[in-house]
Amino acid sequence: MTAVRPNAPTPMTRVLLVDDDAELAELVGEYLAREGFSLDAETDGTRAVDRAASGDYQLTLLDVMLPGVSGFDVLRALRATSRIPVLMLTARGDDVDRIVGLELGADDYLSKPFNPRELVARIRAILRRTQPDGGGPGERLPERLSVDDVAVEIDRRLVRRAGAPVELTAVEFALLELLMRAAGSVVRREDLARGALGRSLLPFDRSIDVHVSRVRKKLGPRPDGGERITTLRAVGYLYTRQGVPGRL
Amino acid sequence: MVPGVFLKILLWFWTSLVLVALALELAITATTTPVEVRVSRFSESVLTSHAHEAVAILDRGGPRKLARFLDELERTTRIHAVLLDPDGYDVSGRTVPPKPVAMVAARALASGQTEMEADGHTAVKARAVAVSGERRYVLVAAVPIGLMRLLHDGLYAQGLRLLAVLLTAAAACYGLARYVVRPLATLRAATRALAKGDLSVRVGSTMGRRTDEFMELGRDFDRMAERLDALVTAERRLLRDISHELRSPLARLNVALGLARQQGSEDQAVLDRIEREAERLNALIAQLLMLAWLESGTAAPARKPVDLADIVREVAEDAAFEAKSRGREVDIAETCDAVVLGDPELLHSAVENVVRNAVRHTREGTVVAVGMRHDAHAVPARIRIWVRDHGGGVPDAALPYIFQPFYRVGDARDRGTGGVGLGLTIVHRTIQLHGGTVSAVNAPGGGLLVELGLPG
Repeated sequence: MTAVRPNAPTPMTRVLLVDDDAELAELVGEYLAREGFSLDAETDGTRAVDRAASGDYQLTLLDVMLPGVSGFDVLRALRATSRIPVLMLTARGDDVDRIVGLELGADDYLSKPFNPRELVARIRAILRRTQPDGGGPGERLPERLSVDDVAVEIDRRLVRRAGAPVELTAVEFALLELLMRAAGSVVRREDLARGALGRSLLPFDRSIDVHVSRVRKKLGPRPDGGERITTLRAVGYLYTRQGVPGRL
Repeated sequence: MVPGVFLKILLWFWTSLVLVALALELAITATTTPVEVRVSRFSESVLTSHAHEAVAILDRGGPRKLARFLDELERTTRIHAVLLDPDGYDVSGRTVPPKPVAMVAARALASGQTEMEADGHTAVKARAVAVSGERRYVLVAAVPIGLMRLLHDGLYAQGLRLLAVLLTAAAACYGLARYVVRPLATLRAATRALAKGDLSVRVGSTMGRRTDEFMELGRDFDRMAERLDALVTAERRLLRDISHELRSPLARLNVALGLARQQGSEDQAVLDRIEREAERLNALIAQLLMLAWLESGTAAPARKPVDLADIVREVAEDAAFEAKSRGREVDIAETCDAVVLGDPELLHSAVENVVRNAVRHTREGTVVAVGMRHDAHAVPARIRIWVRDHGGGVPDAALPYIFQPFYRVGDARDRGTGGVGLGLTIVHRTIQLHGGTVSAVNAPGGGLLVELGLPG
């Protein structure tokens, strides 16, 4: 496709679509090309893991309903080696699939059939988190956040706990950043969704809760044994500092 | 059922057995020689020999010997006898028998035959004895009843026999009835479970080790249930598979539509229309899949505490917002505190479906009223959520069917209202899975009143 829009990211962002529907892949490829993305399609789950982890792509679209090997198996295998952002395509209304996918480390989900505009919006939202320099070089200063024994280098997207690196996905990193910036006060779930997923929460949307619980698990408890991120039911989450009570 | 067939079998067989016993008794009585006949035959020969013997004894040993002989006779046979001379006087010196004796004796003397006279308790028999060609003496014997006592004895014995038959027959019939009815009860319970939708029910193992028609029936029932199970499962799987398969072309359609828009098609109105129809198709498939899942039998709703008041408020607020743009209102008429165990998302969508349905059908400028309250009379406790619109209502005859898939009131499919025809069916299944009930009635004054009852 030659019709690249002026505001499209350059060089072209490469997206891998893992779906057994070749015709759909063709249509999506054509649509995304006009939005400035280059799409490759892969129908085989096992090959998809290698291709997604190859570093050639900035994002993977993964259909959970693959013939043969399940999309979840692909995701699990992929997450063992790669942090590439994954947007899952799930059956509409299948919450179990969504939550399982998020727990396995997917960044977000979109139910299929989807509106292609929505697909592009989700892709952009996820990429914004993984490519923070999208706003232009020089606008952001090298920044470090640290609370207790956790230190985050924003521009290098590095998280260390007591000096040891912690592997976080793009969305998890974005959530941690949002929470640590507001450490000591509550961040509403809705704000976390907008900030980390680039979208509003749907009714009964548990995406944020699943992501937060993964961050918690990866960081482990504070040195004093306390919970780093506490939940305020139906409100949001609070990143606590050792020895400092939180504010609502 | 248990008292019905059980009692019928018991009574029928018992009555038949008793009737058979009675008939047998009658038949035996009818075909055997009657007691009195036997008695009279016996008496005739015995009496004659006794009479001759008595006369011989009188001849040889005189009245004293005769008296001893007659005493002996009475002791051994309980026949009280006297020997009279032709003038009617007693020659034995024993007690003279009462009144009828002389008369019978005279008749016996005259006829030369055995004569008999019976009153209530005694049969008096007389036999004349000829001595040297002349009838000189007559033996008159009072047979201590013979007849009546034998008759009494007979009734008593018959009564005993009848009682024995009654009791034995009752016990046997009870056993028989139990034996027949028990497998029926088992089959009935299984049929009921099947009718309720439990397609996994089988009776094979509960029929015991019988080898009769009941066992055959049980086996046939199991075969039927298996077939039904397979058919229903296949139908559900087909529905699910079709819905899944419809998704792929729909997903392509959506993207193709996006492409058309991207390329700046001139007729955006047509694209809007295509998009709307695609959305409708998508909603329909989603609902079909939802229904297929709810009816799959594997759907087990979560059992989390759910605040119904929250759900009702949220749904009413959302619906009010949308209704407003179409000149309608949604109003919470009453509410209460109620927490039930269930799946929050399913319950939310159930209430939402009912309210949206009401908003679709209520007339412009009217209010959809939503309310919830504890059902004061229900045991166990129940929470009722009701939704009332001010639309045309539903013909009474159609009310039972509005929860069936794709049921439309009237022939005109109300496409304009935006429903796909599965909303209320999903509501029904959802509430059922939560152990609740759904009902719809025409409200007095017009409009439909839908009630969801949940255990709480």
